[in-house]
Amino acid sequence: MDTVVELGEWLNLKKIKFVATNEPRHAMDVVMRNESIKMLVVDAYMSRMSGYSLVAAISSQMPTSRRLRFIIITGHPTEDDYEIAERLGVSAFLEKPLDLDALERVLRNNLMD
Amino acid sequence: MPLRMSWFVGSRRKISPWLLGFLLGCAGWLINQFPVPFGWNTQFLFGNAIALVAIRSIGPAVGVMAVSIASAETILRWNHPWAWLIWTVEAIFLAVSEKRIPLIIADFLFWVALGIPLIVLTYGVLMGVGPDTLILTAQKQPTNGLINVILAELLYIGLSKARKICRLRQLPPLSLHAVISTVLVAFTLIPGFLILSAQAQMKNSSLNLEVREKLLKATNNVKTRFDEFIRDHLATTATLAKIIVELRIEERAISSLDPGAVRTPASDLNWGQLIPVRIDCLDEKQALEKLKQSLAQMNLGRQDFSIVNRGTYVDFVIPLRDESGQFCRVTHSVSKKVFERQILDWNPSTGITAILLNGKQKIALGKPAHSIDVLPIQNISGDEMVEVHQTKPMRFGLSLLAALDNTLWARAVDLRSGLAWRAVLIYSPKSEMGLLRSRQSQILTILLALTALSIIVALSIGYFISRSLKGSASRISNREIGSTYLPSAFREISEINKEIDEMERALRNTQQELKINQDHLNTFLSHAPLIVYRTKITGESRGDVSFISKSVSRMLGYSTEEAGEKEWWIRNLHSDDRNAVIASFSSVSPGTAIEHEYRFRAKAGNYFWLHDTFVTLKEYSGECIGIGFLFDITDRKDMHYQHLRAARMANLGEMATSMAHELNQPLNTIKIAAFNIKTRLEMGILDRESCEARVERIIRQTDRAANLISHMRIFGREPAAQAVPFQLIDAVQGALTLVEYQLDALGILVNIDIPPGFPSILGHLTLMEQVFVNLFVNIRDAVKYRSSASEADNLEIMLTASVKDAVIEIKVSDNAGGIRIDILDRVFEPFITTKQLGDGVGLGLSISYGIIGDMGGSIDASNVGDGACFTIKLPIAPKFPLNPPAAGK
Repeated sequence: MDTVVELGEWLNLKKIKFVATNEPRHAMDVVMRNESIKMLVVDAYMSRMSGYSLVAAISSQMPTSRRLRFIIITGHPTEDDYEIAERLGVSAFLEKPLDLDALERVLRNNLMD
Repeated sequence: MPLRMSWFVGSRRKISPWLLGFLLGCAGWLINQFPVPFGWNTQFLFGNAIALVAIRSIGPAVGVMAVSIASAETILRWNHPWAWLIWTVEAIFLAVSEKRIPLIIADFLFWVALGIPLIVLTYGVLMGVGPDTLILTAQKQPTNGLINVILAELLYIGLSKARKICRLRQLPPLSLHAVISTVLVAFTLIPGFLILSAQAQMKNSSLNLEVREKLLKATNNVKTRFDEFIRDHLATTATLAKIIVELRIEERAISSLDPGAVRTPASDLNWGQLIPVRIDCLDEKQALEKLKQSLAQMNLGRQDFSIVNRGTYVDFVIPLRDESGQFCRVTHSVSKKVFERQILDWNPSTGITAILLNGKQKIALGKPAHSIDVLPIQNISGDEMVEVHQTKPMRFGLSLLAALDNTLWARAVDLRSGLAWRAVLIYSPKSEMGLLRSRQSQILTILLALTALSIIVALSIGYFISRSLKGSASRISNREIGSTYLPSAFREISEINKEIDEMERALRNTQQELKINQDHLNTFLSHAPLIVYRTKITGESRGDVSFISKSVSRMLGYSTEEAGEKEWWIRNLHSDDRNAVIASFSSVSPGTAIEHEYRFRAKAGNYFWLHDTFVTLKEYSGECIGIGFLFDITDRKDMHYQHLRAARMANLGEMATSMAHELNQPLNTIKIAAFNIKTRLEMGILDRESCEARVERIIRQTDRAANLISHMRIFGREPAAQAVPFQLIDAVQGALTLVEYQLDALGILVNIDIPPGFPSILGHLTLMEQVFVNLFVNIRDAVKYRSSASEADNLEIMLTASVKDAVIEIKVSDNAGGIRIDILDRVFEPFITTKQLGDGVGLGLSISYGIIGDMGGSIDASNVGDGACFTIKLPIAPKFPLNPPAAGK
């Protein structure tokens, strides 16, 4: 919870609009309803649903025209993680503890185009 | 209980041996009351035989006492203590030599060396019996003694048989020598004795008859001659008296036909003054003839005559009364020699003596060898032959045999009636008896010589047989393999020897096989990687080692002697294990096996882990022994610990990823918060409130990381060697500390249901924690790999604990999909995993299985509903642990 709060604080400071939630299902609803959401940042481990599952679920339901980027935060990405990420079309992996400069670079790169 | 020969055979009831000996002695005394006559006052007594049995069957001292009691009868019977003395000495001699030589031979030796000299001393010197009697006694007594010993030995054999039949304690058997010599001597002596005895009785009665005949003849002869003599001499005296009356001789005188007669008045006839008148008669025959003629007309009553013994003369007295009425008497003195010649006109070598009796008057005719005054012949009635003794026969100190030497046979006869004279004829059968006795003693000599010969023959037969038998026996006992035996003179023994040879061959083969087996066994025992031992069982506890295989020196460094020392085993138990080990070995019972693993100090001082399997057996004797096997399981134990360590390391490895994740979580928050502060600083908008919130968050997350790390350190610690009781809830919470954030992150709820006051578990807290961590991590991984979020909405772990029948049951179940069916049976095997590389190597459950097993419990896996369920069963920790943990541990 603390992480989400702090991350929100940082996004505010960077003037990036965001919706924060602890619930994967809520996130999915929000993403599906808001076409304006360009990017989904998820933790690989979440309650009731892994980040991968959420990404897989959204990308399977999302219209092909929509360009939604996925960024997965994980503690220790393994080969398998990379493989799954590639298959799911994940844009970037970010390791914990989060390097916020790197996150900013990834956000800027992906949100600018 | 029926009285079955109880005192005689020696019943199960305890009777004092002395009382038994006394009873046997009394029985002997009773039997001695019935002697077997051997002629002429010689008697055989067999009562001692029954008393002699006591020497062998009861005891030497008791036997001597019994014989002494039995033979005391002879003191009264024979009027002297010497037979009793000699027989008692005989018994002592037999008692002393009973164990060494056969009794019959001992007895023979006794009589030769001691008995006969004693007889000569006592009978010959002290009692003064004649040489014939002495010789006979010196032969009779040994014969009697030997027969008694034979009877005693035969009785003993019979007694042994009787005891065998009655199933009483066996008496010691007789030696071969004893049996052979007894039997041989018995066959020599007993028939000889019986024949001699019968013959003696016959000869005795025939001698009696002979003497009777002789005396009868003699008495008749004496009677006839006496009558004749009296007639003649009284006639002469009467004639003389008549002449005197007719001639009116003034002097009443006694006339003697014997010119040399000395006339003295007969004092015992107080018939008046005696006036000796001498009538010289030159021609005696003429004068007598004259007298006879004149006397024919006289009528003189016979009753008027009397005969008076007057020393060397015999007076014939006729009392006279003349016309004046005056009494006078005529005495006719006859020289006793003449009288004797006339009456005892037979060969004086016949040895018959005649004694004429009339009231107190006695006239001894012949040459009596005895003083007639002491002979009790007054009351002998006529026509009967009786024994008379010069001395009192029952006088103490006079042997019956000696008394018999002085015994006379007497026969009385009334002589002329009216005269009141009786003749007693006495005859001493000494010479006849002497002859017969010397014959008897000759035969006895032959018998005794035969006895000696029998003994020699018996000894040699016995010697040869026993040498052969002993040779055979020693071949068996010495186990001289291939020894040649002495060829025996007896076919049976040769056959025995052949049998022994065959037995020996078979035995040798068996022995060799046995030896080979023994060698093999020894080799096994000394080289096998185990120690075999045997212990005593004291009460119900394991006792000291009575046997231990040589491998003990190789494995533990102790010699077998050291291992046999008192309390070797208990002393060398590890102090931590000692109480528990002693407790488990303190109630052994036959047929049960006890297994225990414990540390044991080797001689070098280091400890070995031993696995001890101990079985209690009941031997044929009813005694209990313990047999045990010690295996060195130090390596296994080491491996077990290494395995545990490795497993823990593996666990740590497995957990490293989740730990990283677990730590990344706070670090992540801290970093972002710090970054936010930094960003605000750069932007110059750092307000106090925001800053405090960030710092608070950083502190909180730091604490969280620190807490995690400190528990990791506890978890990584080596478990204590000693199991201690702990609470289940502590183990569960410890495990949760390590994994709860991961579980929480995955939204897994953990429901714990442990009732309050739940019993303690004996074991290692950290190991139990590890078990739970393994289970939780497995659930975590199962959730992580789920591909779909739809599988379950409310993920949860249920941990419930209960107690059933003193067994703690812990169930850990989840709803994360369960275990794959194909590996359900193998989940506890090592390296079985469904996890992806890097998450685990498949050791977790196998380690858990080992940990629970070590705690004496079990763990099972099953699929229940929508998830897996692990059931752990554990024993309740004892209220008072066997090894209370040392203070400060």
